[in-house]
Amino acid sequence: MKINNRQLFWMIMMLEIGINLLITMTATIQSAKQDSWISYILAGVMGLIITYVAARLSSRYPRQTLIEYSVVILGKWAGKLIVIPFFLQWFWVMGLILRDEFLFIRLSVLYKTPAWVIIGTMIGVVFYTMYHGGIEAIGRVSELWGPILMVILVLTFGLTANNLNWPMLLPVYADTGLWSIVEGALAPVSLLGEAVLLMMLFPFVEHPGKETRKALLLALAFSTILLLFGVLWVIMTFGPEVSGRLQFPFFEMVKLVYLMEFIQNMDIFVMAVWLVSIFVKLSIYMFITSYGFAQWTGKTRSWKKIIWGVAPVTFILTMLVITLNPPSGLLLKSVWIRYVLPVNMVAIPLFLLAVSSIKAKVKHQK
Amino acid sequence: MFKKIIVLSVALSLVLTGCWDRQELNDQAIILGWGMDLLEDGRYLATANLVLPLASKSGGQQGGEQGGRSGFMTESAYGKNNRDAEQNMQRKLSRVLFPGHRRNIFIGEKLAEQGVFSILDEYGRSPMVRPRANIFVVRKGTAQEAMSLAYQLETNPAVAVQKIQEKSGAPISRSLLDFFISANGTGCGIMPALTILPPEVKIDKKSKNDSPPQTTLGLYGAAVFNGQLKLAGYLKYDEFWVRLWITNLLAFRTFTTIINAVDEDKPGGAAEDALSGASRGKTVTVSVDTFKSDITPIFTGDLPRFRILLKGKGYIEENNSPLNLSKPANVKKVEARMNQYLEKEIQKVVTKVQKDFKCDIFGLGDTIHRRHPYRWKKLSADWNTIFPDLDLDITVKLDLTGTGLTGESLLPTREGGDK
Repeated sequence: MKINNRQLFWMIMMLEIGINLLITMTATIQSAKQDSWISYILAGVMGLIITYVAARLSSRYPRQTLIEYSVVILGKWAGKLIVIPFFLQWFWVMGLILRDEFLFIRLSVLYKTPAWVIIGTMIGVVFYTMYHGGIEAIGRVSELWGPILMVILVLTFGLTANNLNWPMLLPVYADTGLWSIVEGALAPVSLLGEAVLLMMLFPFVEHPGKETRKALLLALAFSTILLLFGVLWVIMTFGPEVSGRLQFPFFEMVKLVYLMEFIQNMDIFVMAVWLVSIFVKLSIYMFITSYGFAQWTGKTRSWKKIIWGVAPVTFILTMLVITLNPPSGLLLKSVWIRYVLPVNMVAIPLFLLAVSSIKAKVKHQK
Repeated sequence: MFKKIIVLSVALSLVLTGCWDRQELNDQAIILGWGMDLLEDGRYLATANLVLPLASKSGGQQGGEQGGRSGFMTESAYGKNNRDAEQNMQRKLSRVLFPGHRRNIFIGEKLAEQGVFSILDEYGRSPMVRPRANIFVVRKGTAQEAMSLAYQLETNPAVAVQKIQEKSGAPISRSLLDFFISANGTGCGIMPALTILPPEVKIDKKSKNDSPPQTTLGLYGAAVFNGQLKLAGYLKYDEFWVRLWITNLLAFRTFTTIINAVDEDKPGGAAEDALSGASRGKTVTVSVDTFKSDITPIFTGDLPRFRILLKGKGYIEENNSPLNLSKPANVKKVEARMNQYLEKEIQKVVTKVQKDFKCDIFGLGDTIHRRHPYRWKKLSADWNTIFPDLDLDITVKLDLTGTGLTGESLLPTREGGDK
């Protein structure tokens, strides 16, 4: 199972863009209004820093995953304990993106189809891919669909350009202020920061090293630019007030495409591509959860058997989330931004990096 | 193991056929237009314009009554709101109401007067409906009256109003979205308004195949809503373009003024004549297709003032005046007279909006908000009381780039004309 740097680039792109376009925009626009684009730039910069730290850390142990080198760095017990938040995060992400996928599909296309069918089919496909192809299959899928996603997005931007009204972006800064802009940046950065899962993917890259770091940072930069365009387009189309109230402003914008009377109803293309990106994201998470769990319990070779456990658990978890139906804005704010962002994306990687470099120095001095 | 997966995928393919959301086309009643009226007793009356599948298939494009059937039907029902009425309507229909193509929404005048807060939410909430839609107020009538009228050029009157709106020079079929955006801005909403237009002169049908003008649906202009989203009044067909020009939305429009004599300043042929609605006189028509507006707020006294510079590019399409248009100086005269006339016309409409509607539909507040955000913070709360007393300095600058196919008219030089 090997992927190359280009595949890693597309994987991170697909992972970042799909869900970010769907769920973060409303939260950001609500707090940063017409200055949301500044929030996205800010989020991009913070995302790059988070990714860089994680990539640096992994570069020190290019042949090991997070689960392995945390033990190397902290010793057996502490090393095993410190990755538990990541397992929680991974399961949490799988449950939530499936829930969001279900909600979105139910609202847009399949109004009456029961939840278990939509969730079950998605998990089924992901399971099949993971079981037979593993990470390599996902690398290839991303490499194939990533460019298509880009083309569709660029086409969308082009076809909706006639709706844009740039004065909607004014006034800059006066209405919001620094704090609102920073607060608006939290939602996108908490999703951009998901690139820390590279700590699990790093050893699967053919020649991990400088080029890999470059691919990761480039992927993050490109995703930020696309998201930036997305949010600019949304604000210029709907204005800050209306777009802050729409649940999925980006897709409402796509629905507005109306050119020469016959170019209409583009949303179905965007939705199809969006589903592929959800599929990629889910597959990556399914893979790292299973593989990570296998390594954690010390049975790396039988990681495929663990998928048999992870898939049903995800299914049950998602059904539970759907039944309890917590509002996703609240989850994003009160769990994801409050705990996952600071702990999993910032604190743990930084801590591991610090301990690891101190250890190396101490060793060097000896 | 592999077998298991095959079994699984076969099982999945069975469930994947989408049985839950299967909705055959001939089980759907496709809604093209939707109307809401408020009755005297406070109930809502909803009217739906439905596509008649057989009629539209059998080439009944030639309007209303091909083969004794019209291309559309209307159905109505009482209800507490949109969805309730839709459910009540369903009991009369053999097919499921499908609002996915609901592009045109009609609102009766009575309902508009009482305020549209009570019904407008659904048009932005329902996931079945697309955000690109038209919304109209039916002036002096109910939505049902307007929707029941057959339209000769199109099979379906709901399609007809959409196309009429596209040809009015306003932004194309996004009036619902624009209403939401403007109502969230400085607080006033604006919608296009329709009205039922009887023919100007009634002519009896003498034989079966005669086709004299009939009573039909037409664009009336624009309906202005105040901060409570209640109807404040209308801008007529010869007024509503003013708002579009000032807000940079106008696409095309022709203007006609009177120039009676060669010397533009001579009495008896001033810009006021055209304003007074004089039907006689020597007219010039200019067709303008590029519009630009530049609003500059000026802060000197207590109240802000505004300098509004309106620019346009067009050409002369009709000239019944004595001016010889092959001379560039005369084209300049037309320009000057046209600018004068338009400034007066625009001033008249702006005053009407300021005094009668007291509602900033020109985006003046938005301009201050965008250019002077900190001053706006002090002004925004009282904007609706400030707006009627604002001092607006309106300048029109037309640039006439052509005189059509001829310079001098093909007619011989007339009395008092210019050689």
